[in-house]
Formats: sequence, structure tokens, C-alpha cells
Amino acid sequence: MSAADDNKVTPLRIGANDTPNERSGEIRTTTAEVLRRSSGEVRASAMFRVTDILERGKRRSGPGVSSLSLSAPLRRRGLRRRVTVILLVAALAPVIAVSAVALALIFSSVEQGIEFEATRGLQVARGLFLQQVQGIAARAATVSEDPALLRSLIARPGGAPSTNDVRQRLGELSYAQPTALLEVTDASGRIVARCAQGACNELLAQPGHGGLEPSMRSPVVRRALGYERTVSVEGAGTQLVVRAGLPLVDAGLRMLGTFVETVPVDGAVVDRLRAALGAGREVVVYQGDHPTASTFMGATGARLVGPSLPSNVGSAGLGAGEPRVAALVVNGHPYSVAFGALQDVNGDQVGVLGIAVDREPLAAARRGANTTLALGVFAALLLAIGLAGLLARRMTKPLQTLHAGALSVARGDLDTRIAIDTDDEIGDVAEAFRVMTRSLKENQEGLAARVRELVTVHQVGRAVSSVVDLNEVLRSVVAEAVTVLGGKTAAIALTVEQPQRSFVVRAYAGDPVGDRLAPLAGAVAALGRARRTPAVEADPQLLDAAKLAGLTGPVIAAPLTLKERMVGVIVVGRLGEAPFAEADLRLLVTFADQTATAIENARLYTEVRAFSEVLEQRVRERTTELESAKAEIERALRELGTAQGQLINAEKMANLGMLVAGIAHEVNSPAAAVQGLVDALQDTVMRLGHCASDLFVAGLSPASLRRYFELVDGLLPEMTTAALSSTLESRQRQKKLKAMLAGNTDADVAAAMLAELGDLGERVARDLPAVAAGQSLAPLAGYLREIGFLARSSGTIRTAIGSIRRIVGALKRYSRLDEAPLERVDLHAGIEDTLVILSHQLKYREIGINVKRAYGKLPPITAHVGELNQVWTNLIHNAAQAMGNQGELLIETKVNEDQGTVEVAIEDNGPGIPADVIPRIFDPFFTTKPKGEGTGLGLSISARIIENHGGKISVESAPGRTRFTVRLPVDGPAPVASAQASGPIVQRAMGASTPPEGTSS
Amino acid sequence: MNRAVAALALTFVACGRPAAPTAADRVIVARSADPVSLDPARASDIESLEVAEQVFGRLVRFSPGRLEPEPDLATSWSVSEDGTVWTFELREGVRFHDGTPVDADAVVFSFERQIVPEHPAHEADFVWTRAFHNIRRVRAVTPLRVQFDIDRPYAPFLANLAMGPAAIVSPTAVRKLGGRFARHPVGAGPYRFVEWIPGDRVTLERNPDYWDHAPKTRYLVFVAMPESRQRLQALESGSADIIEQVAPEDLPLVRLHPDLRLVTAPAALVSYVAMNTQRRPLNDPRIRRAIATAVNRDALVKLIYQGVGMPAIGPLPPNVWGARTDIVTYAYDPLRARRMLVEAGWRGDKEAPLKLYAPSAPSPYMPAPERVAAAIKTGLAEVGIPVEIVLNDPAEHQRALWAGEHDLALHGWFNDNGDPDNFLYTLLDSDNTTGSRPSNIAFYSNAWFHDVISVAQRTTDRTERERLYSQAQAILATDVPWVPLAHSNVVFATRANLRGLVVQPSAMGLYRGVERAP
Repeated sequence: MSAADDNKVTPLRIGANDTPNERSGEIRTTTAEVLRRSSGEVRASAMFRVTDILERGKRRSGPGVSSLSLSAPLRRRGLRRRVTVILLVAALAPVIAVSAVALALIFSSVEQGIEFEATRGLQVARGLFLQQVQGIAARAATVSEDPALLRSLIARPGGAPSTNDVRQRLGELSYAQPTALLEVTDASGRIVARCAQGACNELLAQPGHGGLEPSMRSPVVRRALGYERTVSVEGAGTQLVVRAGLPLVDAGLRMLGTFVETVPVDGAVVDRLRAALGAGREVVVYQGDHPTASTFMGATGARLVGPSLPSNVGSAGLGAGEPRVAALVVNGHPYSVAFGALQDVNGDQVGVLGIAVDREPLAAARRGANTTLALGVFAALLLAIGLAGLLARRMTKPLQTLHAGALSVARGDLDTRIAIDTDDEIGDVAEAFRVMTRSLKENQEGLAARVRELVTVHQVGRAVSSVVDLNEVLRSVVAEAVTVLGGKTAAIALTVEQPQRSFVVRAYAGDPVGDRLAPLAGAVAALGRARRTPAVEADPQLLDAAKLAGLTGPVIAAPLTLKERMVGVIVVGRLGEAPFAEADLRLLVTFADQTATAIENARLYTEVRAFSEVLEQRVRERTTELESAKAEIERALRELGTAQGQLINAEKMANLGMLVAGIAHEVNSPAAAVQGLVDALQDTVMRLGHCASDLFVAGLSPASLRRYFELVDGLLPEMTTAALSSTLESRQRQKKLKAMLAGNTDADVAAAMLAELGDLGERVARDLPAVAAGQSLAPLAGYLREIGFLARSSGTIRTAIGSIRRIVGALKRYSRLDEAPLERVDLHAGIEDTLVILSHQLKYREIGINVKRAYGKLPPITAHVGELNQVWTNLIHNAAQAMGNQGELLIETKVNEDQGTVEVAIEDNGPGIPADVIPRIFDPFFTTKPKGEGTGLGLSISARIIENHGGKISVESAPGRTRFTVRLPVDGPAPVASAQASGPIVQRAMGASTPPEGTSS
Repeated sequence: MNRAVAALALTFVACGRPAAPTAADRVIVARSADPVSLDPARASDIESLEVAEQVFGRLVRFSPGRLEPEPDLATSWSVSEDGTVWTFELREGVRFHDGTPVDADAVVFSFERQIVPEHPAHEADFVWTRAFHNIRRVRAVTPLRVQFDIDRPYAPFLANLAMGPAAIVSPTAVRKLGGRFARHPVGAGPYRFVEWIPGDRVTLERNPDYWDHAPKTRYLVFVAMPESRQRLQALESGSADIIEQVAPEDLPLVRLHPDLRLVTAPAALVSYVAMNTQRRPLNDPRIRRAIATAVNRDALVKLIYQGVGMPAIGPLPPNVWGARTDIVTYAYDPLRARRMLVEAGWRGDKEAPLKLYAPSAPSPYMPAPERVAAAIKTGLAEVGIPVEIVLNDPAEHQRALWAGEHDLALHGWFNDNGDPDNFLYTLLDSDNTTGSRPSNIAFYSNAWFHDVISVAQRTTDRTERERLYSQAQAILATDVPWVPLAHSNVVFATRANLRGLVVQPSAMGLYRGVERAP
């Protein structure tokens, strides 16, 4: 019902089948028409239309022939037939279903049983076959160790082994193995004897024996020549054979030749397998795709070669796992055959073994079961039909009675009695039907009145709720009241509280008498409730007011009450026509309620409009104020940005200052050491000259001198790295050396000099007396001492220069801080460089910081190396400061493969960060250091750098353990970030930390 | 109605099909014996140790296929400057199967119960107490840091901590169960113990909270089958998935069977002919070199080890780190051997025969000692060295070797901890030539070699140790105190559809990755 703007209503299908032309389509009709019709006779029940249809049907079927009396018995038979069918299905379906399922289960398990039998047979047969292979291998091993055979192969002194002896012995051996071909090769793999069943020589002229090819090319021979014993299954010509190859060696394991035994996998072999499997099983063997031997017998008793391999099995790729089972027909007899691979020693498939299980018992069982099932179903059907007919008849009888009663009620005869008093559900239904008929009758009467009210209320409600202008509302209410209640005049008077309580007619309709009803409204208001009177002029409470208004006849009036406050009165009069019904008054009261609500709505609407106008004005004022404030803030922000930029530069300079101080010291110490050594070297070189001349005048023989210098040369490398000994050690060593050298000339002097050489001194002391050969030891020892000093100094200088180079190199790499582009970097290198740069701070005083590295294996990551170095510098520097420059610093790295990130953790055992400070440490300008020591930007900048790399920095702290953890993506920052990453990150970082524009508005 | 019947019928058919056996989540391993004790402090047989290996975690474990320690319950470790203090950082958040946290106290408990006789959990039948004799003290520094003080710098100490008895046990379980712990082990390994039916089977279940990847298959069952034929049949029929100790004569069957597969790995094991370097004429290295040249090692290994061994060129099996492959090997060459003897002044006809001592029974490192001895005898006779074989039962053989009665002796060594030191120091250092049970039965003594090995023991830097052992092996190659013969293989067989089995050089399986191929 969407047509709210006019008073048309869309389909209201009460009594839609009244006339033939109305049946054909929707009826559009006005509210008034509907109401008029519905306020007439009671006829809105659809139930009655059934009667109409039935009666029309009767009329159409012509006189004397009752369609009902015809159709009723037909329907009865239909019901019984249906009940019979349902009973049949209910009884038979489970039986048939269960039988079918049971049969399917039985067949499938029998089928599976047969497949299982075949598979198990295959397993057993393959095991047996492989055991036979093992047996062949064992037998061949015995032959290969036959002393006579080996003797025959050993070359006689000065000649080749006798081929005849070999053949003779092999021939003897071959009697024991009737199906086997035995061959012996010499140490080069050439066949010297082939024997089968005692026959040897003539075989050599023939291409094969029993279809077996010579095994010269077989891999087992090659393996045997390499001392390996092999047994394998191979294809030889058209046959499958088991072939064992063994080396023939003498007691000293010298290779004499090889022995090869070849046994065809023929009828005898498969017969043995079949014998182990039991009745109803057949065995078939394939080489490649072709059957070569089987236990199948033809009708004449001749052995068949076996069925060819089904295409879905195929010769290749049977491999491991479940064997394949296929159904085959051999000789007109059905079999299930399980196929499994036969492979050679390399694991390549060379053949197939098939085990067939007779399916005939299964087929017979299936036929038997089918017959039994068919007979069973037929018998069950007959029985069920008989029973179902009987049951259906009994069940439908009371239903027929009930059916007849229902028809007569349908015809409109609500007083029909249904004569069923059985004590079952149908009896209950009959009783319920009786009760139903009664209440049907009562309900019909109430229904018509209710429908009218509902429609009216709906109409009025819709009319008043869609309008907000009060006068219009009131006008439409009185108009509706006149129309709906069939009045001649109607009026609404509203209360006016000021100056005193009185009523003013605000709307009227119909006869102009309504315009004068204000006094009557006052009288009704005084009554305080709705009033219905058949003649107002006779009503004791109202007649005065009616007289004043000039109103006569039946009147209904109702106060308009809103939240228990009376706001007005509605009055409707008929000016002398029929009196109003009680229903009319109820309707008027509903009108009154709706009108009161509408009045309230109209009032609220007015208020809201006024309020919103004030609000808009205020918003306009505020907006102006805010805009000026925003300009102010923007200016302040610009100033702040400039200030921050200056501070960042200060931080960088502070860092640089700190680094330079440390590095200067680092470079200075080794430089000073070098300087000192170089000074000393001048003296040493001079002394060395003296020593050399001493040495030459010492009177040593040239041989002694050569040995001496060999000794010196040999010691030189160790001298370079020898450690200086303490004074105490030196004194003890001198004593020891003196004892060692005792008896030689100038032993004391030499001992003192050698003592300076440390551990080497003792080694030299052992050899020196021999070199000196009785001459003075002093020049020898003196020269050694100076050389030793020289060597040691050169080592020290090398170390010092090395450490200078290391520092300078690290500084060089480190200084690429700002310009380094995004590249693949090794995090460890960056950290190590930073450690070198900070090494001065880390070894502060004697105690210093112990750096522990727990490095994982890291992939190179994409990053700005310089920026990351700045992070490590900050974190390590902070850690060192936090620990008061002594303690333990742990640097741990690892890779999280699954997240594609790497993790660097820097941990110190300092006092830790107070819990209340932790949330703020990454804030810019936050510092716990004394004023002037830090800008408070270090960690903030570090955090920004890590974020711009797409990473995360976190901290956990407890007294004794503070750990900063940096996680970085291996693939660097996300593409967008990396596109931005061309500028210096610090700038961007600060930009990002200022509040975004416009947050103030 | 009809549709309903059809659906019902289908349901029946589907239910009627027998469900595949739930073997998919169970791996059955058939071995030759039942374990003796599952307490790592008591277990000394391979069957017990293998079960304990699965149930317990250690501070470090051997990496797959190699005898090289890698982090297990400890994530990192460090050694003090003087090499006597080892500090281990424990993995955080690991718990034993009973929920007890794995912390430094548990580590201390696991070692102290074995090495401190007064410890309340110490038992008289603990067999490994001596193995840890060099530990002076174990202490918990923090809940996740534990420190060992050892009596001298000893680099192989780390490898010792990867061995079975170094298992970390749940102190709660040991205290609660006492002696019964040996039958209800509780550790922090990849599998947790479920049940042990003595003489039949031990069942383990995946530990879902294992710190590393949890095992792929839920249950691991070890069954005892003494006969190798019985084990093979179980594997063929599918009632076992993995069998250990495959007999050499069964190898062809496994190779030819499409459903079965061999999985082998060199064992940490070496067999050799020791030459008594203290006695004439074998105190002359030239004679020793000639003997090495006269032994046909390749043929010997292939014929006698039947494909489950590889020729050895030195004491170290190839899967032990530091093993060199580039040293002089004295390939079999009888002519050259004869020449070498002439140069050494050998007069074979005037010499008394050399006594070659051999055990009469096979051992894991030598399947047929008598045949090996015979082959060596023939080989040496051919170049003019007479040999007399002295065959003794294994106990008497061992006694004679300790007493140094032999000139030549067949012997072998099964490595304990995968450290080169365990071969080189134990079998060849002069320290071990004395005492009532010398393990250096070549009585080889070379001061240079001794220095190198001692320095290596004190050095913890792995690269430096590798360099030193390389040097030591070069010294041996020149001095030839042994004729190294073979490194045997550990041979397992599995169903062909099984994946992920790794055979460890310790002759145990690594089962964590085992799963069935779909």
C-alpha cells in the first residue's frame, strides 16, 4: 500500500470472487467503497467463498447430478490406494535396500578378498622367488670357492692356465645343477669355459645354450672383475634369467677370473612358486611386456606361455608400493591377477611377476545371490500387497465419515454433526472438528467489525502521520471523521490555557454547525472521557452546550489526551440520523489518540527547526575563529622544524666529535709504539753490525757457521711471534740456561742473552754448544739476541700498522654514512666496523667492556649501510654509557626464515632503564643524560631509520639486562618506502614526527 | 523416498569398505634385541642408547649424517681463555615431557647424579661415571646458563656432550620414579616415552612441543626380533617399516626387491692391522711401508665385507670431520713391495715368521677375521715375508694384544664421540702405550705426533684443530704404524615408500624426518 498521496488503495482482496468479472483481475477501489461494503453484511470470510464455489460447481454440473456425491467415493478409493502404496513402499523399500546393500558389501568384500589373495600371493611368491635367487647365489658362491676349479685356473709356472682343466672341472660341477649354465672367464673377462649338464666344448661353437646368450656383456661379469659378488635378474634374449657373478681369487686375493651361473626363470621355477601358493593360483612371468613362462595349462595339457600384459599395467614403472590387480580371462576362465615388478640389482625393472587367482567361485556366488534376491523380493511383494490392502481398508473407514462431514461444513452447513465416536486419533479429529465448527461461527461475526476498524485506523493514521503542519493535520482528521463515521458535521477544538482555560475550534468539516462547537467541547472536556449519545439535546450533561451550538441528533465526542494532559476535543454529529454504534465511539477514540500524537509531532517539528537555525549560526561563527588559529599554528610548526634541523646537526657533530677523539687515540697508540720501536731499531742495527763482526772473528769453522745460520733461519718465523717474557721468567730461564750451557766458554753471558729469546732460548741452547765446537758462545748468542729483537720488532710493527689500517679502513667505510645508496649489505661487517670505531670507548680504562658476539648466519640484506651504522653506533654507545663503560655487551644476530627478517640484538648488563622511562625512550628530545651530554635524538633517529627500512626496534629492560632488538626485512624497505629513500632519512624522519597539517581544524 | 533409499545404500557401501589401516602415523623399527635400560646413565648397549637418543635432548647433538656437534638444548657456548671453563647458554622455553622446564639446574642434576657418588640420585650401576672423569664441577650460573669446569683444556669435550650419557633428564621424574626411571624415561627429545613391553616393543610418541621440527610421524615403535631372517620377513610383509642390522647374505634379496630399499652410511668405525712398532723388524718404518703395499685392501674389503664396507686409507672414517683423503695410501703393488723390502735390507728366508694375531669370532668391524688373516698371510708370503697366524677367542685375543705379544694384529675401533681425537689420541698416541690395557696396540710412539695431538686437544678453535689433525694424519702416513683396512657401513633396510630416514655413523637411526610417501 504505497500510494500514500491519494486515497486510493491497492488490491484489497476481500471477497475477490464475488462476481465473475471481478475474478479476472485486481480491483482498485477507494477506501470509502471498501468501508461501505465491509460495514454492510458480514461476508468477508474466505471460508464462505468455498461454499460459493462448490455451489457454482453444482449449478454447472446440471440438475440431478451432484458433483460432490460423485467425487466423494472416487476420492475415498484414491486415498486407500495411496495408503496401500505407501504401506507397500514402507515395508518393501528397507528390505530391498538392505538386501542390495548387503549384497554390494558381500560382493565388494569378496572382490577385495580375491584381490587381497592375489596381492598376498604375489608377496609370498616374490619372497620365495627371491629366496631361490639367494639360493642360486649361495650355490654359485660354493662353486666359486671350489679348490679344484681355482687350481685349474692358476697359471702353471711359465705358461697360461690350462683351458682343458678348467672345462673338465666346470663340466663336473655342472652335473649338480641341471638347469643352470655355468661359465668361467679369465681375469680379462674372456670366456674360457661354458658348461651345462656336463657338456662343455661343443657349446662354444653354438650361439647359445637352451636359448641362453653368453653372459660376456652382462654387468655381473664386470662387477665380478671388480671383486664384487653379484646376483641379479636379467633379460637374456627372450628369456628372464637369474644370473650370479663371482670373482675367482686365490688365497692372496689375486684375480684369477670370474664365475657366472645363469639359471633361466622357466616352467620349473614358476611351478615351484605355484606349489607353494596352493590350489586355484597360477603364476606367470614376463620379460619386458612378453610372457615367458607360466603355470597355465591349455586344454590339451600343454603349458601355455601366459596371457599378455594388460595395457593398464604396462611393463615399466610398476615400481614399489601396492601391486596392480587386473581381471584377465585365460582359456575362457576368469582370473584376478596381481602384477609386481621384478628388478635387477640396479633397481631397474626387467620383468613382471603375476599371480592369478581363480574368479570362478566368485562368479558362481554372484549368480546364486542374484537368484535368491529376486525370489525373496517377489515373495515379500506378494505378502506386502495383501497386508497393505487390508490395513488401508481399516484405516480409511473413519476418514470417509470425517470427509463427508467436512464437505457439508464447507457447503456452509455449520450445524452438521459428525457421527464418529471412536477412541483413537480419528475420533479426536472429529471432536476437534466439531469444536472448530462452533468457534468458526463465533469468529465470523467479530471479524467483520474488526476489519472495518483496522482499515479506518490505518487510513487516518497514515493521513495524520505524514503531515507536520498542525492545521492541515486537524483538517484531514475532521474530514476523515465525517467520511468514516458517516457524520454530517465534525470539529476539533483545542485547549487554550491563556488567559484562562477555554476551547477554540481549529478545524471542522461538513455542516458549518461544527464551527460553533467550542462550548460543546468544553462540556465534553469537563466530562473527561469519550461520550456517545443518541440525541444530544436529550443528554443532561451536554444539552446546554448543544443548544448553544445549535447541534441536535446523535453525537459522539472524545477528548484529545497527550501524556495525560487534555489538549482538545473532537466531536462528530449526525444531525438527526441513525445513532452511533459503540464501535463508532471506539473508532473516534482511536482518532483522538492519533490526532493528539500528530499535534505533538507538529509542535516538536516547529521547535527543532527553530533550534537548528540557531545552531547553524553558531557554527559559522566558530569556523571563522578556527581558521585564524590554524594559520597561527602552521607558523609555529615551521619555526619548530627549523629548530629541530639545527638540533640534528648538533647531534651529528656530537657523535663525530666523540668518534674522532676515540679514533685519534686508537691510531695514536700503535703509531707511538712504532715510533718507539723504530728508535730502538737504530741502536739494534748498530749492535747487530758489531755482533756480526764478533761472529766472524770468533774462529768458527765454515761448517759450524753454516749450521749456525741454518739454525737462525729456522728460528726466524717463530721469533716474529714470540712473546716477551717477564723479568721473573727471564731470571728463572737464565738460571736454567746457565745450567744447560755449563762447561762452555762464556756460558754466563750467553745464558743472559739467550734468556731474552724466551722459550726459543732453551731450544737454541741445546744445539748451540755443538755449533760453537768449543769456541766462545757469546758472539753466537749475541747475534741471535739482536736478530731476535729485530724479528720481534718487525712483528710488532706489522701488528701496529695492521691495526692502524684496520681503523682507517673502518672509518672510511663508516664515513659513507650519508651518501650510501640502498644496497645489499652484510650486517656483520657494519657492526664490526662500528665496533672498531667505538673500540676506544669500549676498552675504556683497564677493565673495559667485554664484547660477546653470538652471530647467526645472516643473508645479505637490502639497506642503507651508513644509516644502519648510525643505529649500531647509537645502540652500542648508549649501552656502553649505560654500563658505565665496563661490563658485558652481547651482540646477537639471527635470521627468522619464515618472516624473511633478520634480527640484531644488542644487550648490556647495565643497571637497566626505569620502567616509567621505557615508553618514552624513542621520543625525540627525550634523554636521561645530564643536560648538554645528549640531544635526546639518538634513539629517536635510530627508530626512524629502522622504520624507514621497514623494520622494528624494541627494547626490554631489567636491572642487569637491557636488550635492544632490531628486526629488519631481508628484502629491504617496501617498494614505496624505498622510492622515497633517496633523500637523507634523518630529514624525513623529523618531517614525519611533526603533527600532520589540519589536525587542528 | 527413492532418493533417500539410494543415499542410505551409498552410506552403507561407503562404511562397508574397510578403512585403510592407520599405519600412516606409525613407524615400526625391527632390531635384534630389546633395550636393557632406558636410563641414559645406565644404557650401554646400542638398542638402549638408540631409544634414549629419541627420548632425551642433550646440550649439543650430532648433525644428521655426520659426527659433528650442533646446538640442541644449548643455543651457544664459549670456552674460557685457558680452555678449562665451558659456558653453555640454554634454549629458552623448552620443557621436559612432564612439563618441568629445562634449565641450568636440570643440566647440573643430570651430570651430578652421574659423577658425584654422594648425589641422592646416584646409583651404583651407573656405567658412564668414568666417561666424565674430567669434569671438575658443573654449576648453574643463571637459570639459562650452565658452566663446566674441566681439569685441563680438552677440545673434544664438546663432542662428549653430544653422546648418549650426556642426556639431560627431568629431575622431577628422576626424583619421583627413582630406580623406575630406567623404565619410564622422561627427557626433552623429539619423542616422548609411551610404553615398554619387555621382550617385545618400546613405543614412543611424537613430542609436539619439540624445540626443533617435531617428528613427521606420530608413533615410533621399536620391536625386538633376534633373527635377521625374521626381521627381513617382517619388512617384506610390511609388518615392520625399518629393520636394522641387515645380514650381508640378505643384501641381494633387498636389492632385488622392488618394495624394499637399503639405507647405508659409513659407521664411525675402523678396522686395521696394527704393527708392533716396538719390536724388530717392525720397528723399521721401511718394512712397515712394504707390508702396507703388499696388502690387497680393495679386494679384501670387497670380498670379505661384501659391499658393506669401504677401504680405509687412514684411521678417520670419511664422515668424521678432519678426515684427509689426500694422503699416501700405499696401493697394492707386490713388485714394489718386494723392491721396498730389498732396499730395507730384508732377507726373508733368514727371518722368523711374523706372528699375526686374529680373533676367531667376527665382530662389528670385521665380519671374517680368519679369512682376512689368511689373505694377508698369502699376500705377505708372496713378497717374501713369512707369517704365522695365531687365532684366539676374542677375550684371549684382546689380552694378548694388551700384553704386546703380537707382531701384527687385527683390530678395530668403534668411535665414541665423533671427534678425531677419539681415534688419533686413543689409538696412536704414546700416552696410550703403557698401563695394563694400552689402547695403542701398535705401541706407536712419535714425539712430534704426540705434540701435535696434545696441542690439538688444548685448542678449541675448530680450523686450527683441523690443521693440526691434518698434520697428524700426514705423520701417520709416513710412519705407517697400521695398515688401515676398512670402514664398515651401517646397513638399514626400509620399505621403499618410506622417506627421510638418516642413518647416523653411530649406527643409530635418525627418525625425526621419517614419513610415508603418499
